[in-house]
Amino acid sequence: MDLVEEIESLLQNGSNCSLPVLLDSLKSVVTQKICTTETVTADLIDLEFLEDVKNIISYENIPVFFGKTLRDIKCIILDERLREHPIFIMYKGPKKLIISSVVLPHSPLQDREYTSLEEIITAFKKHVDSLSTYFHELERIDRFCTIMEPVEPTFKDDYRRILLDDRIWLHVEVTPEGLASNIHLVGQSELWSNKLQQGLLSWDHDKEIIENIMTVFDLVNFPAGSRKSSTTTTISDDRPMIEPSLCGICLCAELPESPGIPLPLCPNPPCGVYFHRNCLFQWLVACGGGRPPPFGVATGSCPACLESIACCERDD
Amino acid sequence: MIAGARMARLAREVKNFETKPPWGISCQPEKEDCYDVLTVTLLGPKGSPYEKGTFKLTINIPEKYPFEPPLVKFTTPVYHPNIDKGGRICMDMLKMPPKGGWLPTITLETLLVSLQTLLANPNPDDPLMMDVANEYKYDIDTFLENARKHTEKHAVGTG
Repeated sequence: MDLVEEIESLLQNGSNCSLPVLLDSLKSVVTQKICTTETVTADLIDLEFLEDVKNIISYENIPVFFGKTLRDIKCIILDERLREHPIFIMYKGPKKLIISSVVLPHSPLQDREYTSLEEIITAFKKHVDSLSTYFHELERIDRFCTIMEPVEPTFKDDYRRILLDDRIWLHVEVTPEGLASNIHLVGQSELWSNKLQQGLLSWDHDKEIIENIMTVFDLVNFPAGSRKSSTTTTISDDRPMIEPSLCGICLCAELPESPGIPLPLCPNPPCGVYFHRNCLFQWLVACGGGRPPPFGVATGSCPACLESIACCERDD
Repeated sequence: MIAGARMARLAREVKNFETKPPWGISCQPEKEDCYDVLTVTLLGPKGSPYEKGTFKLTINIPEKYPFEPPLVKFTTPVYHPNIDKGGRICMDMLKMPPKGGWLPTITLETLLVSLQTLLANPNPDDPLMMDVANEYKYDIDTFLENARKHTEKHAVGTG
């Protein structure tokens, strides 16, 4: 039996044995049958890498999954609170591994090459451990607040837009150290913005972000999504998921080319129409004769209720 | 970004006409999946001299839609103070502000329903056809008679 056939039969019959066992038998086949120069074997099967995968599975006890090809690898790292953090790795060649994606905010760890899986795991374990406060803060926010944006929040998104009332959201960014930053309101309301201005002075970084928000805005609990029930669907874990409202201009929720979801941008309380910032800005500029407005702030009247409205080109 | 928003919005609007069409209005793209030109069939409103008629229109969607109003024109001749012989329509909603009342929140559906309303309720104070407007103002019976005959001749049984 030639080598290719042997490996094929091994792979076909291998579905009922575990990955380490399979890798072991693969290794024995390869070492027995192949005795060409090192460079050639390296191109065909990287024994060192198979060894590396085996070690990770059996000694580190980290689950390893393969994707479409054996070059796409997923490992799951558990942190001290048993949160699962998947890492997607790509095998580029012998001693050349890169991270294709992680469900964490971008870090320099993603921009370099690694020589072994073990090296990646060690680096990320450390990284994940350093983010423990970050995870905790986001988890608390996600648990108690209605998150308007991101639509499906993960640890990759280091910001949350929290529903305060139908027309006002609070934007909070969380630093890797777990501190709140760039806190501001989305939507216009004197009441909420006065509370925020005063509250920011007494913000206590020793307390949880969620606690601070409750103190600043004098909340006992956070409002639940108050959208029409028809747009509220329930996902598997029984947490109501709110679909973003449609933009009154393009009639869409999310546009592929422009980021962001429709926001309650009109300051007139009875007007409940949401707009994409970009759509509203373009309309106000078109009404003003198409010239770019001074200071990037376009003014005019709301296309839904006709009350005066202003809109910046960019968020915050 | 305009191109994507325009396409997405038009696709949604045209689909809405299929799934829940307003009374007496149908609207389809002239060529499938190209939303630059739409053709509309509009039934004359009940209780008006146009009620037996079926009117055809074309809508040209400008590049900058919905930041500019669509260009709407009757292809079936209409006897009406606000619609001229070439099918052009004098309606506030179809003009860009500050002179006109176009808003990007107006959908094709709203627009066509308003057009149906305009058929039933002419606005003789902002006329496109002076003589027809005067007839409507000062000799309503003749106007109704003429409009009915005109509809019968051009908009009934013409498919």
